[in-house]
Amino acid sequence: MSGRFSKLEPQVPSIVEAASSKPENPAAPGEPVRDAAFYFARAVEAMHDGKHESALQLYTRCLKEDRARIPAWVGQLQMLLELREDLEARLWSEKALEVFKGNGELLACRAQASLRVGDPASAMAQSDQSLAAPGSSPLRWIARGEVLMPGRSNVAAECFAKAKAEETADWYVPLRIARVYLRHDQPGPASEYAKQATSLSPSSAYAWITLAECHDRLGSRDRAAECFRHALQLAPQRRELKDRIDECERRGDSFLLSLWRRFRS
Amino acid sequence: MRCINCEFFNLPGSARCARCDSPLDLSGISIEPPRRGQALMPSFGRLAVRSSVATRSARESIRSVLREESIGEVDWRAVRRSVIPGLGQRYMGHRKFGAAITIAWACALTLAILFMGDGFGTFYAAVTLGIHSLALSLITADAMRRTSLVQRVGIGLFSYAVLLFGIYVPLRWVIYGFVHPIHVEAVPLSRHAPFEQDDVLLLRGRWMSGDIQRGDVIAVEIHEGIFGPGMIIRGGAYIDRVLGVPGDVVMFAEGVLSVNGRPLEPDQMPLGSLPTLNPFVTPVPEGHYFLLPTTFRASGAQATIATILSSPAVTLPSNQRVLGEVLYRWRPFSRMGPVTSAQTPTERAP
Repeated sequence: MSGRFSKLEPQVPSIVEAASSKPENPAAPGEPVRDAAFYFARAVEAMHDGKHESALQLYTRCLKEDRARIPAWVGQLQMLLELREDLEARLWSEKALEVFKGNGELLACRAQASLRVGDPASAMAQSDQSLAAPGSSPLRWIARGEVLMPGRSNVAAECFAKAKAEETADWYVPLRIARVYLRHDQPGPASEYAKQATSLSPSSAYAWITLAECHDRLGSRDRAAECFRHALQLAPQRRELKDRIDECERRGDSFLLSLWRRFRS
Repeated sequence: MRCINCEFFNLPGSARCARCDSPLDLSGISIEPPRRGQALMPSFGRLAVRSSVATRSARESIRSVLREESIGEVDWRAVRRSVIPGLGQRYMGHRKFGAAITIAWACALTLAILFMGDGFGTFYAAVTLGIHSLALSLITADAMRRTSLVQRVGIGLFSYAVLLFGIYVPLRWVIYGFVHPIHVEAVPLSRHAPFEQDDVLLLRGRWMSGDIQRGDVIAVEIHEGIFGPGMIIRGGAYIDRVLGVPGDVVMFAEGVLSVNGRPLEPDQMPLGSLPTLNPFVTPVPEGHYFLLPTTFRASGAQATIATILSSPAVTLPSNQRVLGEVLYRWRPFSRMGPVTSAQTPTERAP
């Protein structure tokens, strides 16, 4: 096992090691084949659970098996962005684009990273290239919406609507949009998209956690605590949610903060 | 060999795709992404990337602002009309709002003029400028909607600076070249001086000093200091009537003040009442004027001409120290009006 895997957080090894144990051995009867597709599926699962660090490791493991798997590169970049390592994401997207020149999804990731490191002009240009590239995906429209968000929020909302209307869109698309809004400190619209995500996938703890974060940022801490409780029921192993619930209950609703956040949103 | 990027079939053994130049052999490519905590990139390298991103961002922002994205959509006719705030809004169809802006600006400007020369004047001048800047910003607001908050703030500050240094400061400089407002401070250890605590408007002294005649009321710049026993003067302006011009001989004898041997008429006398003075004869040198600052008092005793004359900065001011001819008094408003050379001593405050 490489050095970076030995420094993982306590809950991470269980996922990654379980996924990557005996990688060289052929699968035992009844066990799945541990190939790129296997790691990719596990990475997507981890991403949908909101375990970004684990997802990043699994995407990397997937690339180790198959470097040509572009969605894994995209997944790595998305996880870096979720982990707020924007500069690293930008560097990594440049690296990926050296290999996969003009790939629409990678360009979309680069546009997001450029925007988040404070380069909106480059972000806009990269988003243009992303949309001009062959094919279409929700991610490109999400990136477009994010790039347009600072100055033209109504156009951004239209882009997000297009992202949701894409054929490949699933429940994770509204959740990803909600995360984008949260990232830009707009919990009002974020909560709307998070609600959509919870209605599309009521069994997703991550969607409920995101909705709880939206309520928390809006100052509605009672609702936030309720959502956290729901998430805890769905994922009892996530003990850190108890602390979040306690914190929300201790702080209580903040009327002024709630009013101000709603006014801003 | 098939390119994984563009799916182009390349010749066997090619290192890169002939169509998209992507590498065909990916085995040597690193798949470990850089992480924040890892020293994959030296700190100075990160700093360099950040600075280059910031520089490029700033450059692009300026370009986009100056090019097609925002300025191109500004209605320049409305901007030109905004020399008077509110006219631009009226031109764009917001008649009532434009009128409100114009009225607010005019009120602030009037107050700034009325309180010219003191702190309130500065405050109202800032309000005037703020209203003007706001009116201009609102015209460009629609075009600026695409730009980021930082850009909008930058443009707002830029328009504020353009208004300040392009219109208001030059205008003030030109106006102050002709007329100059001053506030006359109280003089400690003195009787009530003429125009003390008043705001007056001066004809600019440096330009008009050649025209100063005997009997004119002028303002003289005085510096802080002690002029003889008990005569402590705070810096500021002193206003009095010119008794003698260069070449004159001013004489005081037997209670009569005369110039060149002829007694002064009542409308040529100093603004203050004459104290008991010892006789004196003073020739007025070239480039100076003679004032008799009758309001100063010595500590514990009447002023003597020796005491007064020991402060030539006050009695014989040079051309350079003349601030100007007093033209108009506008505060207190109860005594607002033009100041003429025929100003009588009876107008003085008690």
